[in-house]
Amino acid sequence: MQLEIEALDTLFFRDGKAFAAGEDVWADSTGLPSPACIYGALRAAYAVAHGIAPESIEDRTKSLKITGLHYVIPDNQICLPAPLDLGVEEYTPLSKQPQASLATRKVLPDDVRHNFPLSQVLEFPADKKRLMAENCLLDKTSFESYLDAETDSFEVEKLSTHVCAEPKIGIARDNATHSVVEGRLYRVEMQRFKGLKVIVEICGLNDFPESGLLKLGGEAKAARFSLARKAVTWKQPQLDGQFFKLYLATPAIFKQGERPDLSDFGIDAELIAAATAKPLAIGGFDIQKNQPKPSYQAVPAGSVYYYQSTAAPQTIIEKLHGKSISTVYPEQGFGLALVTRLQEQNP
Amino acid sequence: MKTLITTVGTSLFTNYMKPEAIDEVGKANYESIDKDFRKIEKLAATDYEESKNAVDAIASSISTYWFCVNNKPNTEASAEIKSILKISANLKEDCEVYLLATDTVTSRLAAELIKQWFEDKNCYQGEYAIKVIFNPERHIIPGLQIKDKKAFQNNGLVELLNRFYSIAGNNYANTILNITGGFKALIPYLTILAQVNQVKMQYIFEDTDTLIEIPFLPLKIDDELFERWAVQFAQLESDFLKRGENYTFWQEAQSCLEVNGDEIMLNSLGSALWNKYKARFFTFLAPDDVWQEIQTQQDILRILQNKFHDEAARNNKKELKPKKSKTHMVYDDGDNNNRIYYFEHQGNLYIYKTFESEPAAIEYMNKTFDKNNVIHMSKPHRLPISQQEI
Repeated sequence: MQLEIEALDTLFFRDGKAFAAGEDVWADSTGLPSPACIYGALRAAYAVAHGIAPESIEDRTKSLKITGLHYVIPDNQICLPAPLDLGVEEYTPLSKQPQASLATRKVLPDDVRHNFPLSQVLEFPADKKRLMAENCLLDKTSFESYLDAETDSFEVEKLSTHVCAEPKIGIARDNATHSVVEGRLYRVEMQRFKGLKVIVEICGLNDFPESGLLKLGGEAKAARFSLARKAVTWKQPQLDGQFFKLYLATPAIFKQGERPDLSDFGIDAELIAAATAKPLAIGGFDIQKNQPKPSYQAVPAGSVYYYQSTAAPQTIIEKLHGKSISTVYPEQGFGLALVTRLQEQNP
Repeated sequence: MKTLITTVGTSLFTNYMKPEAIDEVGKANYESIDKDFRKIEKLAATDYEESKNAVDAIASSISTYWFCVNNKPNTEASAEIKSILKISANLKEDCEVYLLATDTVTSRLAAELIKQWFEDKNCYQGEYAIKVIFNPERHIIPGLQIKDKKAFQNNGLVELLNRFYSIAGNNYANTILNITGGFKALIPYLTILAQVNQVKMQYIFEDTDTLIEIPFLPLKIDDELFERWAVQFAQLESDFLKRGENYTFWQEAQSCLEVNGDEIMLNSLGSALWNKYKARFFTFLAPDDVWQEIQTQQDILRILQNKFHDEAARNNKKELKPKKSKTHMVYDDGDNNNRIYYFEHQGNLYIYKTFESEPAAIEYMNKTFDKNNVIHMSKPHRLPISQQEI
C-alpha cells in the first residue's frame, strides 16, 4: 500500500553530528527524513494502533518493508531526488525554473597517470557554471524522460522551495525553580514542509492502518498519514546495448562504502563512472534497547552509477529495478534503485 | 447528416491550467500539467512519440480530473467540446465531426482527448449521435504552425484547404465550419473558404453560450479570370512561372499569386479559388476544330462532364493504343463507340481527337500526330462539371 505522510508542524531530522545537552549548541537538519526515520515512525504508529508494548514492537513489525519512497509537491506533482549527474545552472532568475543538463562522459586518457578508480569521468556542459543537482527534485515526467535517456535538459525543483529551514532557539529550565539553566542555550534547524508530502510504499503488514497520526523525526513533531491519493509506479526502461545506469532514489549503505556490489545480485557489471555527493551519517537511537544505533556512512539519494555489462537487459531490470540494493537496512527502504537507460556514446 | 469541420486549439489545456479549474477540480485532486505542457507546447506534431512521457502525463490528468468534474460531464472542458455540443443541439440531428489539428503536439493531443471525451459514455450523454473523427495520418495539417511563416503560408494553409475539400466533398450544403477553437490566424482564411463555397460558419464567442453564424455575403468569384488564364493556373499547381515571361498574367491575377524574386506561385487564396473553379469546371485545351466537333458530340460532352474530368476515373479507363506502337493515350469508355484521344503536358490536359464511332477511332489509331502542333494550336476551354455519379 502507498501512504501519504503530511507534516502537521515543522519537523526536525538531525544529521549525524553529535548533539549532547550542555555540550553542543547547534543542531542542523538533513532536510528530508531518512528512510530509517520514516520506518521507525511507521512502526511506532502500527504499534499504537494495535496496542503493542514497546518491548515487542521490533518482533511484531519485523515483516514491515518499505519498497518505495517518493515525494509529492503542490498540485500533486510527483517527484524524486534529482539524479546527481545533472548539473544545475548556478544562477537562475527567480521567475524561472532552474535548468539542469546531463553530464557527459569522458574517457580518461591512457597516457595520463592518475589514481581515479574509474575509467570515465563525468563532465557538465561548459556553457554555464553548473553545480551538482543536490537538494533538487525532478518531477515524474522529467524523470521518465531521464530514465529513457530521451533528453539531456531538464527543469528541476529546488528542495528549498518546498522545505524551508525555520531555526528554533531553545533553552533548558530548572524543573524546581522554573528558571533558565545556564549553558543550555541551543539552536536547532526545524524544517517547514510547504506542501511537500512523503509517499511511502510499504508491504508485509496487511493490517497496517490506512490513516492516523505519527511522530516523525526529533522533537516529537507530528505528522499524519493516509492512503496515497494515487498509486505510483515507475516505468521500466528499454535497455539496449551493454550500458545502463543505476539511480538511487533513497540513501544506501554499501559494504564497499561508496559503491554497490552488483555481484551480490548475480549481475556481472563494470562500474565505469559515478556521480555521488558527500555521505550522510545514518545513526539514531534504539529506544527498545536504550542505546545508540550503529552509525553508518550512506551514499546520498540521487547518486547514479554507470555500468557496462554483458548481462541480459531483462535480468538487470528484474534484479535491480525498483529493488533495494543497500547492504544494511534494505527493509527500511535504503538503497531503492531504479535502472535507467544509458546510451553507448555521448549524444 | 451534417458534417462539422472543427479546428482544434489548446483551450482544453489552458482551461485546465486556469486558477478557477483548481477550485472546480478540488485542490486535493488537482494535478498540475503546467510543467509537462511547457515541455511540449512548442513541439511539432512529428515529435509526438518522443514526447510520450509528457503527453501521457497530461492525458492522464485531463481525462481523470477534467473530463468530469463533481461527477458531472464537463461540457465546457474546451472551446471545441462546448461549441460542438451547442451546434449539435442546434441542429437537432446526428452529425459527424472532423477534427483538424495544427502541426503541433498540443493540438494533436487535444484532438485525441476531445475524441475520447465524446466516445466516453460518462461524458457525452446527448440525445443525438456525435461521431468524432480524428485520424492523425490525415487530420493533422502539415505546416500549419506559427514558428515558420513560410511553411505556414506555403504548406499549412494549402493543406488546410485540401483537407477541407477532401472532407466536405461537394456536399457544402451539409457542411458546417466550426471555428471556435484553433489559431486566430486561420479565421480570415477560413472565412473566405466558407464564403466561396457557401459553407455555414459557426462559433461560440468567448465565454458566452451564444452560437453565432456568419452570414453568406453576396460575393462572386470572377470565373473568367480563371478561364482566361487556365493554362497558367494549371501550371502553377506543380511548378512556378517566371514573372517576366508572364507579366500580363501576373498583373491580372496578382491577388492569387505570391512573388519570390522573379518566380511567381499560387498563394493560399489563389489555391482556394482555383480549386473552387476546378471543382465546378473541367478545363482542358484543344484546337478549335476539335472543340467545335466536341460541341456536336453529345455522348462525348456527357463523358467529359461526368467522368473524364475526374483524374481517377480517367486513369481507370486510359489505354495506350495501338498495342505495338503505343502512340496514343486513349480514354476508352467501354462497351460503346466513344473514344477520347488526349495527352498531358506541363500540368495541362490536351484533347486532340474525339470519336463517337469505333471504326473511325480504329482507323485513326494507326496514324501519328504532331504533339507540338497540337500544343501550339490549342486554346483553353471549359465545361461545367456534372454532379452525377462517376
